[in-house]
Amino acid sequence: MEAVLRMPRQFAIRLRTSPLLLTLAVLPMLVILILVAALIWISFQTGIVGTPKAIYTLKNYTEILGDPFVLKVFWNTLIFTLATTFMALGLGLPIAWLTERTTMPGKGLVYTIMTLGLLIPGIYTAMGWTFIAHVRIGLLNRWLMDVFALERGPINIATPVGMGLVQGLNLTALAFILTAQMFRAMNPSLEEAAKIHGMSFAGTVRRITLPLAFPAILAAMIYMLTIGIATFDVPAIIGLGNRIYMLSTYVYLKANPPDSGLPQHGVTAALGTVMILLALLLTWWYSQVLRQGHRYEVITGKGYRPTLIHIGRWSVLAWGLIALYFLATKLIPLLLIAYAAFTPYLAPPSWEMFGKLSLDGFRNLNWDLFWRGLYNTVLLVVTVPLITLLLAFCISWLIVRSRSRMRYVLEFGAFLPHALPEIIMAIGALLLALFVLPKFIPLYGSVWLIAIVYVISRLAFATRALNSSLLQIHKELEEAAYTAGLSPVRTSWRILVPLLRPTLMSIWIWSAILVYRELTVAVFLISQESITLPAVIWSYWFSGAINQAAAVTLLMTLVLTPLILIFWWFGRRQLMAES
Amino acid sequence: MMPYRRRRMGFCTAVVFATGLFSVSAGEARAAESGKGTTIAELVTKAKKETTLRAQWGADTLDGGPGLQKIVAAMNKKYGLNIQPSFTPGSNMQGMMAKITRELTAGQPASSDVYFGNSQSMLQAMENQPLMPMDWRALIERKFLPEPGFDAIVPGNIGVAMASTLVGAIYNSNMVKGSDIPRKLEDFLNPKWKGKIASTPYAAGFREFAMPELLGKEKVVNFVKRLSKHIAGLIRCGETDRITSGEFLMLALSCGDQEVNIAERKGIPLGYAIMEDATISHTRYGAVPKNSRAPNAAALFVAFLHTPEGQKLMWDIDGLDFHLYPESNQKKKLDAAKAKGAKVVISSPQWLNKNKHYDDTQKELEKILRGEAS
Repeated sequence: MEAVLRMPRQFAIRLRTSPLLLTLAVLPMLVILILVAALIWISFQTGIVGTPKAIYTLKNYTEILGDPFVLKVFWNTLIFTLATTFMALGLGLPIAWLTERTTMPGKGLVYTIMTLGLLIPGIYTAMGWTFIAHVRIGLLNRWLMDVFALERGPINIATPVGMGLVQGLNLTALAFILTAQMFRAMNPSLEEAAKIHGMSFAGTVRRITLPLAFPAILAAMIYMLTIGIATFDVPAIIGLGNRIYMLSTYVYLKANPPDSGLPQHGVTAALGTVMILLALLLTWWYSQVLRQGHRYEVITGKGYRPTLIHIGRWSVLAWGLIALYFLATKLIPLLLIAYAAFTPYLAPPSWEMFGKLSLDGFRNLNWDLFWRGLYNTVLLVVTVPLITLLLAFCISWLIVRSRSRMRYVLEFGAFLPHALPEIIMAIGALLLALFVLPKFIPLYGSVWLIAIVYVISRLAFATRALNSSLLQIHKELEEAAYTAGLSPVRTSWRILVPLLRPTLMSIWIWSAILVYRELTVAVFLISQESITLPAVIWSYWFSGAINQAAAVTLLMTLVLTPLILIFWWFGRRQLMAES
Repeated sequence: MMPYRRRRMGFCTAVVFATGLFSVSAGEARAAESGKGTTIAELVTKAKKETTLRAQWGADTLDGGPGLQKIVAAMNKKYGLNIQPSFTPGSNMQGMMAKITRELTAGQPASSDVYFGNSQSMLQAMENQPLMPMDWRALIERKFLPEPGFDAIVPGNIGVAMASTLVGAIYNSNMVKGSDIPRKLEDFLNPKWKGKIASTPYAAGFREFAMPELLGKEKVVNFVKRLSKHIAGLIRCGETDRITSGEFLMLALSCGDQEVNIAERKGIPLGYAIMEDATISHTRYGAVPKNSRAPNAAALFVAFLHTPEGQKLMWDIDGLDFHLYPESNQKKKLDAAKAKGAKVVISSPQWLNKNKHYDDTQKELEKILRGEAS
């Protein structure tokens, strides 16, 4: 915050007399606080929560903390999260290094492949990997069983480690994005000095490159651990049927019990509170790492230019790794999903089954449902990023330009959604909409309830990106505009927005992509009127209609193409780097 | 300041509850208005003001969206209506009942205007009363065949039985053949099937087998404990794709044979086996939630499925019909099972309600199957 300069009195007065700006900045904080408060309140209730029939008790906490099965669920989640992080960084980090620090050719194509990795929903990879590596029906296992005359497939993805590796493949692109920028900005002088002093390549990586990259790697790791705790799609698609429960799927089961019991909202809220505590702990660690970042500064002076490492023929191997990633996470799952979409019933691929392929899966599709899902998804993709941008701009402007101590509260509040697992925000919003707000604000079952949760959950990322960019714009420009008589809104529109355009565009596209592929929140909040495309796929999958789930996934991929083109159009590499 | 704040909070809370209670009672009032002493003709008149019939149940139930479209189209033709169907895949039958109950409690409209459920969910409904009482005997114009100990109308007139299906095991007929096909419960524990078969997360079949009239709780709990160590996973009754794919070779036990009835017509490799130990005829019920936004169209939907054309349509699209009608295909299957000497019980909420521990037994069996209890 050293860069925050004193504001002129006139400016400060304008700030005080801008209730709209303050309202827009404070509103999301209130929503976050209400969500958390509702969750904690409900965690102390049993019976029908939010009604006079509810009983206040600590039973929910004793039940989850004293039940060995819940402890097993926590253990599974830990293993899953570690495996996810290991896989994502294990693949994403080398690819980022190869792209930014070496002379490997075709870097533009690497960014294209990694962009695709971001755009494609996790549910898609999970479905595809079920067909690839399921212990009995996975093609890979069947091939290994045939070749080595095995009785049982040697690979089993229906384990916490297996699911973690699949989720890690989903997050590889994110690990790449989070670390590529750091490699690009890294000062090569230390590496060059090591080379001059005769240090081997491996020694340089171990003693210079990795220690310099440590904060960024650790930050990426913590970020992925936070995501891993609450991941729903992969544990739901692969784990639920195989009796491997994670925190997210356990919460889902408690909120949607398979038997005659009513949803155990008290237990889900108590679990949510525990998840918040875990995520807060990780976020605190994350913020500590970021604060220590200056110790590892990697850019020096204006004239710095990173030197690239010549890898020569090793680039073939490097491209082999990237091609393998592309095949494993995109191409093969897509082909298998296409196969599932065209088969009359699900069976392992064979010549006999290829003879039965038809368009029946598409003809029998519930098109009304598909169009409803598409409409809601497009509505969310259009509105959520815009609202996120507007609110984040107001918050960031106050954080960066204000001198009030309240800006720290705003900063903390804006970062808080990062610590709130989306699944927990969804449950909080559901309970709030059902039991607290029903008549005053009729949000239950509406697409706007989903939109609110999406906006809140994207705020942390949006404000972080905007804070950095706003700090780089000198306040004199705004002061000049005020002196010329422009209102705060016109000043923002005429001065700040044009200067911030690349960052704003980057946030808009990122938010749109994340909204497009999001399932965790949607699965808890959807209704007839608010169902989204990923939720349509999930509904079909969960009802056993795998062919229809595959058909909708294919259609969703087609719809996704324009979004991919927009992403490319706006300069993928720069946007990703800024993000 | 604090007391004032507390008063204000109290006032706000009271307003919230009062609003919720008002909306619930308003829903009940509308229920009474729609239900009592209504005839088909009156329902048709009122349904003309209702434009959409929203339905939410499993995508496999009544063939999901396409099935709903066919039924509503036939209903529109019969009653001269122009109702638009709108389908969203939903949770299982008990899950949907819980959702509707929760929505009613919160004063929200029901996610599904018409409810399609089983005996277990109707038992839930008897306890929580989220369904609209209607004079179903008057609305259903056909006579049921006599069935001792079974009443098609749910106590309180909150629902009516409209289809039945026999509980058994679904298997992949390409992979399970001849003498491998299970005939008794013990056959599932054949070491050959270890780690290759599935059960349901809601203990379908076993929860009823545990009743005193069938195998009894102790025997079934012990069996399910052994089965739990033998199965590879839990799938829902409609997830037959996971059996044809070979992910699981069998489902022990399924909710009914309707998927297999359809599969046989399409050449899909699924088979069905009824256990010699005992079997249950699962009953499917239709009802109208109190908070339905189209209660009249919903009641007509249920009434239509009782007509001969409704029953035939249900058989064509979902392999279901009601064994209390003489032309029923399920009646033939039930008679055949009885002729073989199998112990057969017709499931109903009244029957389940006789055993006060039924719900606890189901929860216990589910926990065992999930691996939460050994």
